[in-house]
Amino acid sequence: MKSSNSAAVAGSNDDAVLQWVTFKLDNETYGINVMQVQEVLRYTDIAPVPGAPLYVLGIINLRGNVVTVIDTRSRFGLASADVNDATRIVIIEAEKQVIGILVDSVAEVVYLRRSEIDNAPNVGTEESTKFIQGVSNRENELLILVDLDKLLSDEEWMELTEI
Amino acid sequence: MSKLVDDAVCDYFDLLLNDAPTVDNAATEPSRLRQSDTAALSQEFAPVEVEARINQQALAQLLAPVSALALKIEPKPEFEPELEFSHQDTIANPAQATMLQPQKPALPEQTALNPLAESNDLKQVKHAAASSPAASITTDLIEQLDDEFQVLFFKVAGLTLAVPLVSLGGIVNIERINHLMGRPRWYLGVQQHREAQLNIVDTCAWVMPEKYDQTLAQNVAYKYIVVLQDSNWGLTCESLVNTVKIHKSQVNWRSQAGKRPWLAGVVKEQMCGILNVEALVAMLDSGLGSQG
Repeated sequence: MKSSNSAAVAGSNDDAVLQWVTFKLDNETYGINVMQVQEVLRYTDIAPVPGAPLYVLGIINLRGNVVTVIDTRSRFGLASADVNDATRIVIIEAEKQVIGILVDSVAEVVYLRRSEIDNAPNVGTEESTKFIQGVSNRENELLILVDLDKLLSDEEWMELTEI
Repeated sequence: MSKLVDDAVCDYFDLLLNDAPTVDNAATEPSRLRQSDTAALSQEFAPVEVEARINQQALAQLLAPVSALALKIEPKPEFEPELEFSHQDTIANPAQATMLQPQKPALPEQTALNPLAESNDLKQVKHAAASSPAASITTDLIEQLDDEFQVLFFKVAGLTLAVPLVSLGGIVNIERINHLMGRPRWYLGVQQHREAQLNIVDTCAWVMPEKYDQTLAQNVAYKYIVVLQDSNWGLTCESLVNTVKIHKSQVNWRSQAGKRPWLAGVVKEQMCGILNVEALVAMLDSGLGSQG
């Protein structure tokens, strides 16, 4: 899999500045590489797809294109929550596919130097452990950086193309 | 303490007692009595039964990093002799120890400095610790400690645990623990501490996972984090009891690392487990639970 960190880089290469779009899920703040974010949508009705994998909420029509929306909470092992005014669908590109991820809210775009990113604790064997590519302290708040390419396994990315 | 917690604690210690160590008769390098140990012995003439003292000053120092939040420290240890520990589980077979005795070098000269200071129990512990390679971690701890050393007692879900102060990295208040997905149940998350991430362990879930059900989880109210050595690991606890100076002979040191190398032994008077922090950190770094 390719690394998505090569984009959104400024400054010298040894301590490059990366931009991250942050969103909230269950009171935690997550960040995704800004270069993988295409747009952020208000919540719109998601049409369920019969026979789709559990991690797929359904599909939406985005200006004539069908986009699959992933159940991010379930993917992260979190309990489901009701949709509200802050709920957003973030349209991202990963593994050469455009998908939507449902999040509680979108916060801001932050700038982080590579040196400000720490490795996540190497504990746990669950699949979701791989989603975290690092953590960073920012204004006394922990930002959990998500590797979108690893949000799904290779097989699951393939599976999405067939929906 | 609720009956539920009582039951959980009793069951937990029953489990510990039934942890039959694997027998390994290979002798290792015997433990050496450090010069500082003998000096301390000659100064103090430490009796076998050292009176437990509450060292409020030391505790105040420990709590220095803790912010203004008032700590409720129980004025006097109220340990309940809830459990009975089998000496067979913690002290090596005396016959085996006697067999190995001639292999111990140099000790007669050092112990001759103060023959009264080293109790029979302590001798037994040293023989036991030297009797198996599996016990090397505990042996290291025993050697690291002075004959008299301070321990901090803390409580979690009715269970009292002790940590030697030399192995204590600090105590911090629980503030904001960030949950990280995909981690084991005992891994609560990370909390920022001195511009670094402190990995927070749900002590109850780690120590007695088999008893840690939903009900018990709801009854546990963690307030503090006991930071382990200079690691980035911290154990949650509900309350800090006190710090007490104890003698090595007051601990039933485990002769075998067994399945729980993190448990160095049992403090006899308080009847509580004393942690082998080095082994505990190694287990946590490896993502292991308390059962290994």
